[in-house]
Amino acid sequence: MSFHLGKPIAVMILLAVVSGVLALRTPPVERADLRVWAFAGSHVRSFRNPDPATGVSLIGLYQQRTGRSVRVDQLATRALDIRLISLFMNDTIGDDVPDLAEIEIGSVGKFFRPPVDQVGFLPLNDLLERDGLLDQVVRARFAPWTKDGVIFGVPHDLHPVGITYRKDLFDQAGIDLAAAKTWAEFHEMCLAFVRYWREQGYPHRWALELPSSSGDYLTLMLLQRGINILDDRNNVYLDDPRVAETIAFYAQLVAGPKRVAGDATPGGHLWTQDIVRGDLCATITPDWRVGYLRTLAPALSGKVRLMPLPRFEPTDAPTSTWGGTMIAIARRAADTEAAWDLLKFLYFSNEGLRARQRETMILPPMRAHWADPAYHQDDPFFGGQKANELFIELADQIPPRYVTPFSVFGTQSLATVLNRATAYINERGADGLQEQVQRWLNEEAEHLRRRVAFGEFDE
Amino acid sequence: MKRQRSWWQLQARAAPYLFVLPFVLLFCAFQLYPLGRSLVISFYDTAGPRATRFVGLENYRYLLGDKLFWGALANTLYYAIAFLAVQIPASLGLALLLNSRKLKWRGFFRFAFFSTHLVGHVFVAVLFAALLSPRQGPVNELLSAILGRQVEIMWLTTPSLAMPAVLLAAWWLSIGYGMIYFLAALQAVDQSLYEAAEVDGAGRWAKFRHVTLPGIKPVLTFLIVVGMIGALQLFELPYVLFGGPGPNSRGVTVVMYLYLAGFELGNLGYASAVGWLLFVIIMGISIMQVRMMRMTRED
Repeated sequence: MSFHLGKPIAVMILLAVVSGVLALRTPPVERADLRVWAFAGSHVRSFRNPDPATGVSLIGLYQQRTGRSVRVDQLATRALDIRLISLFMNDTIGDDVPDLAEIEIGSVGKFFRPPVDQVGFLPLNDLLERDGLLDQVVRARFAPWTKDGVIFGVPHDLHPVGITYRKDLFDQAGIDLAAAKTWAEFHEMCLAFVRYWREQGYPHRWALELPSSSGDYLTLMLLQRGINILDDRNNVYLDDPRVAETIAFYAQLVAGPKRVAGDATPGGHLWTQDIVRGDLCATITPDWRVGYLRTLAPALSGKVRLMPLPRFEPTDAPTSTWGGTMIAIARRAADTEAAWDLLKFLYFSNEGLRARQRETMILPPMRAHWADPAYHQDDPFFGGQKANELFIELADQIPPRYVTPFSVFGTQSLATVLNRATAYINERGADGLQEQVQRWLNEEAEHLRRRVAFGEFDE
Repeated sequence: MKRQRSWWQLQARAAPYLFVLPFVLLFCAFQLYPLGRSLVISFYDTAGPRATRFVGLENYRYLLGDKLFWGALANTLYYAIAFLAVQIPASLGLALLLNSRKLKWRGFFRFAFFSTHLVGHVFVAVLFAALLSPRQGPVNELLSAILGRQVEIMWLTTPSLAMPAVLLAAWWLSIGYGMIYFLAALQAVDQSLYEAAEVDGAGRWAKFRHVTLPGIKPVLTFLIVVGMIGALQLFELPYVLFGGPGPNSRGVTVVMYLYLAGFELGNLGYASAVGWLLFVIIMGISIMQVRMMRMTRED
């Protein structure tokens, strides 16, 4: 058989025809009354997966009760952000706009640059007050989702932070890491740990997982000290002397002769395997990270323990917060009352909280729910320690975290100074480091203030 | 009869315009209008759908004074020059090697070297993040085996190694792509010129310099110009490799800066100004390159 234009063209035409027929025959996606966009797999599972006891999923149950169907779409974080921003920028109305969307804390700042009345999400203050829900949630947790006092999202979580460490390996080194109450003590113990394992022939066994060039963990330590690089009014605190002190300390953890920490293997959740192999023997863990350890590193069961964060000063919190998600209603959603009803069901109802507990064990920001016996069990993964009880103890001490469109640049400035600090230590040691860090911070703070002054939208 | 003729003449005159009309309409709607619109909004501060404020040249003024932009431009130029400096000779070398009739399995090798180009920037970035990982990464393991001691090079977190890491991934991705173009060009060089050169006693180098190089010059020019434009538009590779601006913002490119302005700050006016400045830079460099190529041809 021959085709006068040649075989490749024949194959291309055939493929085009077949894919065209397939596209035409594909049944259209069923329209639901309400649509939810989410990025976290565990959240989506908690909405979609059937309850083993009843065989009905959370959204199925909602449909049974209200007659309204719900579709939950899972999108990658960046895809979700870009799509939503594009929809908001175009002021799109209609089916393209999801009724509800979950937004990650690192992304939310970019939605808050427009004036309050033009932010793409619906203000929730009145609805929360009307339904008496405002006081059910830990107040500090509304901070990241608020602009000029207007609340745009309901928090999914609190994400208190502790340190998960390999008790078996620290025990072998004769070190009781949990006894460290200050970061200085913690550092000394880690140094002893690294020395011990080096003598045993493990030159690359590090006591702690810390990135040597990113500002994320630094942000976390600063929050512990009550410092937001930018507050909710975009005031810059980058040049606070405590920031210089923290960076100088952090830099010595990751570089120079007193180094005790190593970078995690990049990509996916490969850091869990660093802990399993004992390359990195402690890691800063909010509750959601514990979930990854349980699932991806079952070999650690019984070998790890959880401890609060050591402090720099007695006034610091023994914890911080890392990550977070809010759920928000699109201002242009077709039926915002129906969307609010679904939001309440997913985030505040007992069924919603139970489904969440089943999939993630992430501590919800509703205090009333903390008494649930599920959070007070001995945890075999942590060798019988009541790990969730510790998270509950820490939860009430979480410092407020603010996120603005400029937060990402603040974190970048921290990373820049950290990189310069580690280079300084590697070249010259730690003498004069803090003073030098302060000078770099002053420069960065100036740049950041200029960026804020230029970037803030004044009508 | 006369009426019929004039109708036919009208059709004949209108037909070319009617044929190009769909393209012109689409071009105007999706290219020309957005271009013009982006130029207009580059003079505005924008935030959200209805919040806009005329700022004149303020976006351009801030842009030219922003050290992050200059850092991004320096990173981009460093990448573009280093990328072309290795990609072009390596692609040409590979093409010369695979053009040899003495080589067995030529088809297989050609496909193997070209296949890296089929996978795309994002895949390559994910792959190289694993290859360059500090402890278990094959690159560090290979270096450890060669040096006889365990090395822990932080490829993706050391500022000075950030761009080299991107370059490694980019070369791996695109050397085979350049090779295919050179192969096609080499096969189009008139064989009788080689024979004539041999008769004149030309050696390998003389044949390459006086026959091969002039023969493939149009492709060489094309690859340099297109490679430079592509390099100046670099985005996905460092963005995925570092998950953001990279250590000390050494992974920030001009397009990533534009992305940050548009989608992190939500200021499309400022992002448009960045886009137009990038356009001017690319245009300037491309014109310069073409002129230099023309001058060498005239020489």
